[in-house]
Amino acid sequence: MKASLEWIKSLVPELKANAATVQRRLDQAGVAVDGVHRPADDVAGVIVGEVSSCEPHPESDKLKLTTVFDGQASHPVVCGAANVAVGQKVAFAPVGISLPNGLHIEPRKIRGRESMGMICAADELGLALRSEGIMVLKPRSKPGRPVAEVLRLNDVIYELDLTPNRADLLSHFGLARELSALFELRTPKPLVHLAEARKASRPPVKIELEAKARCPFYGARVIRGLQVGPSPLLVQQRLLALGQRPVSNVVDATNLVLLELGHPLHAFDLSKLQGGVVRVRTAVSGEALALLDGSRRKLNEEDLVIADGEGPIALAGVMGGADSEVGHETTDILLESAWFDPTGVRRTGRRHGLHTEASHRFERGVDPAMVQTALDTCAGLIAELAGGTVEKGRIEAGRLPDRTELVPIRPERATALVGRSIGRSEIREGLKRLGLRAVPSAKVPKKLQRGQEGALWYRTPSWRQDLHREVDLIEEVARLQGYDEIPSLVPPASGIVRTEAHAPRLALRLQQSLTELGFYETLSLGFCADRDFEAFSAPTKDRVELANPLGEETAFLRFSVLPALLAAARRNQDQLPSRTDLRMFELGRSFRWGQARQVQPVETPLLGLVMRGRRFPSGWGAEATELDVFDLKGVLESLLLRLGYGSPSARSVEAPHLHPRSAGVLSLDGQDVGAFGELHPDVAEAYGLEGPPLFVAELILEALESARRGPAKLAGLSNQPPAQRDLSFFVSKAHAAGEVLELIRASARSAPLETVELFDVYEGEHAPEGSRSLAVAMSFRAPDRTLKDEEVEAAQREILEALEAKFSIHLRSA
Amino acid sequence: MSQSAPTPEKLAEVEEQFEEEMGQVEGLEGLMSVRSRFFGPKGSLTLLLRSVGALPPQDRREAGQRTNKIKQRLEGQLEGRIAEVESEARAAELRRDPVDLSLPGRPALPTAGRHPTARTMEDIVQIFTAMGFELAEGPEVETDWYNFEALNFPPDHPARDMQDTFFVKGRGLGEPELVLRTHTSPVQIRTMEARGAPLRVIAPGRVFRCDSDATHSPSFFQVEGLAVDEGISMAHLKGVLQSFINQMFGERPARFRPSFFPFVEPGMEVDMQCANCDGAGCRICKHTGWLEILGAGMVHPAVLEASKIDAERYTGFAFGLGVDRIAMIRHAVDDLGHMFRSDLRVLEQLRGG
Repeated sequence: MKASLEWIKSLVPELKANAATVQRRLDQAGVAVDGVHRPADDVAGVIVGEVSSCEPHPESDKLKLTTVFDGQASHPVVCGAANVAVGQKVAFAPVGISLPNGLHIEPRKIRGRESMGMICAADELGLALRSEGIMVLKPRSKPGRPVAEVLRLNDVIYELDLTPNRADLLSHFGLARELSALFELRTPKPLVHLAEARKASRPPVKIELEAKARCPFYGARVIRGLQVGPSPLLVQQRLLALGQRPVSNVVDATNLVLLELGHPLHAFDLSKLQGGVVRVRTAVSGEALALLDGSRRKLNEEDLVIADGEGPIALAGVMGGADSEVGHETTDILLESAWFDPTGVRRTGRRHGLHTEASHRFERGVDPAMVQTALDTCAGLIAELAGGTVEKGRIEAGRLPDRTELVPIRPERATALVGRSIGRSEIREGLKRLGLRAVPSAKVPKKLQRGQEGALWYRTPSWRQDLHREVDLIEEVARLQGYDEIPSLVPPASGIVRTEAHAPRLALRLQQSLTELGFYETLSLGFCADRDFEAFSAPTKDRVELANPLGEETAFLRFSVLPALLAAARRNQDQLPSRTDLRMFELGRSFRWGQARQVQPVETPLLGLVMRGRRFPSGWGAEATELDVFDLKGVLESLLLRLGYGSPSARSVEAPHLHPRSAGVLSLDGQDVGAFGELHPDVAEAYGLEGPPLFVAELILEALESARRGPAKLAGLSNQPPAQRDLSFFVSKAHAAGEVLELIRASARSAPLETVELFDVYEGEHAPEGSRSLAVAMSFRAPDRTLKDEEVEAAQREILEALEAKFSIHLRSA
Repeated sequence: MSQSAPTPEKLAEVEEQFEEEMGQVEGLEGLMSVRSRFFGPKGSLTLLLRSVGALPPQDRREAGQRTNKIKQRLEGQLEGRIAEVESEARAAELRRDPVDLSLPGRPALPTAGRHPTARTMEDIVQIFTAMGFELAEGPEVETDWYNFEALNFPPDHPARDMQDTFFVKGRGLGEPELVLRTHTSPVQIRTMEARGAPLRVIAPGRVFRCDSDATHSPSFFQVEGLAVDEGISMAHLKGVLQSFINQMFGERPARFRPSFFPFVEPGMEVDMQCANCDGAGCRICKHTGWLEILGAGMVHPAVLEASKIDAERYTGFAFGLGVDRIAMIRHAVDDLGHMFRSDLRVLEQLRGG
C-alpha cells in the first residue's frame, strides 16, 4: 500500500519526526517500508515561467508562439494549449530535463519555429489524470522557482509491504494510530464533517438482510441533488500520488475515505434502483451481473450480492454493478457502508478471479467500529465535492459484529518466550498504547482463567482482529520495543540422544565424486512438458499433472532428470555451436502416481548424467579422441568404486530413449541401479542436439542406498608370487563378454584365481564369421603358499573346459 | 734398482710435477690421465710406494708413511677435482632442453564444479548440523494440511495469498487437495509428528511458487530450521542466526525486524549487512546497505498443537532461508535466471570456492 506522510501527519499532528525517522520506526515495529517516493522528484527541474508574449503561429491554427521568461532569460516556446495567455505564470520545463511521463525536453522546430522548452499541463507532470490546457499557477509565483515548491509538493509517499495480519494498517488513519503508539503520542480520533438535512424524509429504500451470517450489518445514506464531475486538482493529485485513478468527484470521495479510514464504500445511482428495496442475499444459480470492470459474471448460490427489487446490483464487498453505476447524469445516490464476512468475500473474489481494494480489505477484516464513521465522513465529503444534500439519518439493518476478544498475558511467559525480562508495567504501558483495554481478572469468567494464573487480561480493540491468544500479545509487547533489545544467546545443549546412525550422505558423495570426474552439476526447474514424454516415449498413465501450470513448460512434474539435461545441452550448443564437449549431472526427483491408497505421488530421487564430445579436454597435447559408451561405463564404475561399491555388472536391455545397439542396465549384487547407454538418435534430434553422440545414464538413489556396503575391509596382503597365465580364444559374438569373464572367475577350482583382466578384443578378418577373439590375463595366487605348476595348469584346464562346454570357444593358436 | 727410492726430495719433485699438471689439466679426460700417471698401476706415486719394499727394513716404515701421506693428499685433491667436474657436467646435462612450463597444463579430466546453489545449500546444512541440527527431508508434493493448515494458514485466509501455489491435478480418487510445497516448512510438521519434542532439524529442499519473472522462479530452494525444546526463546533464535551469518559470510551485523508468517509468533525478517559493499550501499543491496536473507520466528503454539506437542511445556523457533538468494549474494549474481539455465559459461565462472 502507498501512504502519504503528509496525510498521516494531518491525522496525528503531534507527529513531528522526519520521513527517515518515521520509516525506521515503522521498520523496527514490523511495518516494512519497501520504498520511498517524493512526488517533488517527479517534477524536478520544472520551474515557474512567465508568459511574456503570445502570438498565433503563422503556420497553424492551433499553435501559439510564446516567449517564456524563467527569471533570468527568455525562451521561445511553441505551445498548443488553447488557454495560454500573456502574463500567466506557468510550469515551464526547460531544455534538458525529463518529465514523469518519460518525455525528454529538447530543442525542437515546430512548423518551422524554434521551441526551447515546454509549458506543461497538470497531467504531463503526473498531477492529474487528464488536463484541459496548461496548468496556470498562482499570479504571485516567482519566475525561476521550482514548481514543486510553489505547488507545495513536499509530501513523502511510502510504499508499504503490509503483512496480511495487519488489516488495521490499510488506511492513513490506521497508520496514524500505529505511529501514535510507536512515538507515544495521543491516539487520533476520526473527525466527521457532515451536515445533514434538518428534516427527516422517508427513506427511498428499505434494507433487507437475508444472509445475516455473511453480512451482519448494512448501512446506507442518501444524497440528493449532487452534480457529478471531475474532482478538484488537489484531490486528483492526492489519488494519483497514492496510485489511484481519479474517476469522478463521487467515486473519488469513496476512494479517499477508503484510503483515509480503511473502510470500502460504494455509491449506487439511486434512480437506477428498482422496487424501493436493497436486499443483501446470496445469488440464485443462473443469475448474472454486469460489473464495473466491464465483465459479466454468472453467479451461484455461494456469491453474496446486493440486489434491488429486480436482481443483483453489486457483488457484495468485491465490485459494484455496471447498471447502477454513478455517471455524469446522476443526481441522487445511495451510499453503502456494510460489514461483510471476510471468508465469504474471499471465496467470491477467488471464484471470480477478482481482487479489488474493497475485497482486499473486507477479506482481511475491516473494523466494525469504522462502518458508520466512514459512511458519515464519506457523505459529508461527497456533499463537499459534488454538492447536494445529505438526507437526515442512516438507513441501517442488522447489528455490527463484536470482533474483540478477551486475551491473557503472563509476564513470566513473555519473559521466557522473548528471552529478556518483560515486567507487568511494560506490558500494561505498551498494550494500552496499542488500544488494548485492561480487564480486571475479577471480570474474567472463571473458566477462562484456568491455567492462566497471574495473567493480565485484555480486551483487544475492534480494529486488531489478528490478536487472539497470549503469544499475539507477547509479540505486540516485543515489537513495540523492537527486537534489537533482545540479547543473542546460544541455546543450551539439546540433550537429544540421536538414535539414527549418521551415514555420510550418498547424494553429497555422488555430487563430489562426479565433480571430480569432470561433470558440472546443474539444477533445473523440476518440471517437464508433454513433448518430453513424447521424446522419451515415457508412459503417461501415471504422470503427475499440475492444475494451474504457468505454461506448457511447467505442465507436469518430471519423470526423469534427463530431459532437463538434454535441454541444457541444447542451450549450451546454441550458445556456442562448438560446445559439444560436455559433461553434466543433476540430482532431482521424479514423480508418478502410485497405488490408489497412496495419497501423494511417489517421489524417486534420481541422478542423471550426460556426456559427449572428446575423451580429454582440448589442449595443445591432447588427443582428440571421441568418447564412446565405455567412457560412460568407466565413469559409472569409477563413481561406484569410489563410493565403496563393488564393480557393477551390466546387461543389455531395450530402453526407448537409448540407442538399440547400446542400451544397458547397471546392477550391483543383482540389484538394478539404473540404465545407461548411448542416447537414441531420435531423442537427440527431438532436443535439437547435433554433432557427436550423447551418452546418458540415470541412477536410482534408493537402489544405490539399498546396495550399499559398509566401509571397505582390508583383506590382507599375500607375499606369495602370482602365477600369470594368458588365454586367447574365439567366441561367438552372441555371448556377452561379461558372461564369459564371469564364467572364468567362477570355474577355477584347483587354484585361487585372483584377477582376470580382459586385455584385447579382436573382431577382424582373421576371426571366424560371427565370432570375436577375447584375450584375458589371469593371475592365480594363494594367500599362504606358492602355487605348484600342476595346480595352476589344472585350474586353467577347468576354465577351458567350462568355456568350451558353455560357449563353444576354441583357442587361438599361440 | 731402477726406481729411485722415495726420498723427501724425490717426493717433493713428484708433488711439484703433480701440482704443475693439475694446474694445466682441463676436463674429465685430462684428470683421468693424471690419475693414471700418478696413481695408476704404473703411476709414479704407485711405483714410489712399491719401491718402499726394497728399502732396508729400518727405513721402510718412515719412507712408507711419508709416501702414503703424500699419496693420500694428492689423490684426495685429484678425486675432489674429478667429482667436481663430473657434477658440473651432470648439472649441465640436466639443464639442457628446459621445459617451457608456461605452456598450459594438460588436464586429465575436465575441471568441473558443483552448482553454486547446491554447494551453498550444503554449506548451510553443514553449519547447522555442526550446531546440533539433524538433517530431515519431506515430499515435494504436499497435502494442503502439511503445507498450509497445520502451519496455521486456515482455509480461505488471505495469508495464503503470500504464496502463489501450484496445485496438482488429482486422479479423481477422492484424494485431498495436493499442492507443490510452497516452502520447506511442512517438514516442520512431519518431523515433529515423527519425532516429537525435543528436536532440532535442518531441512533443505526444493520448493515451488506459481510465479515467474525477473525476480521469481517457479521453483527454487530453501533450507528450513526448527528447534523445539523447553525454554527456547527469541534470544536463542537470534544467537543461532547471528552465528550462522558469521560463519557463512564472516562476522557482520544483522537486523531483526518484526514480521508476519502464520506459523510463527512472534515473527521476524532478518537482514544482514550487505556482503558485497559491507553496508556502504551498492547495486546488490539496492543502496540500502542491508540484505534480507531469511524469515524466522517462534513456532506458533497452534503449529505445535497441530503436531501434538504440548505448547505450554515446549517452545521453539523456526527459520527459512532462501538458498538461491544466498548463493546469488555469495557469487555476485544479479540475474536469477543464471541460477537455473545450466549455462556452462556461468557454471564455469562459479565452479571455484
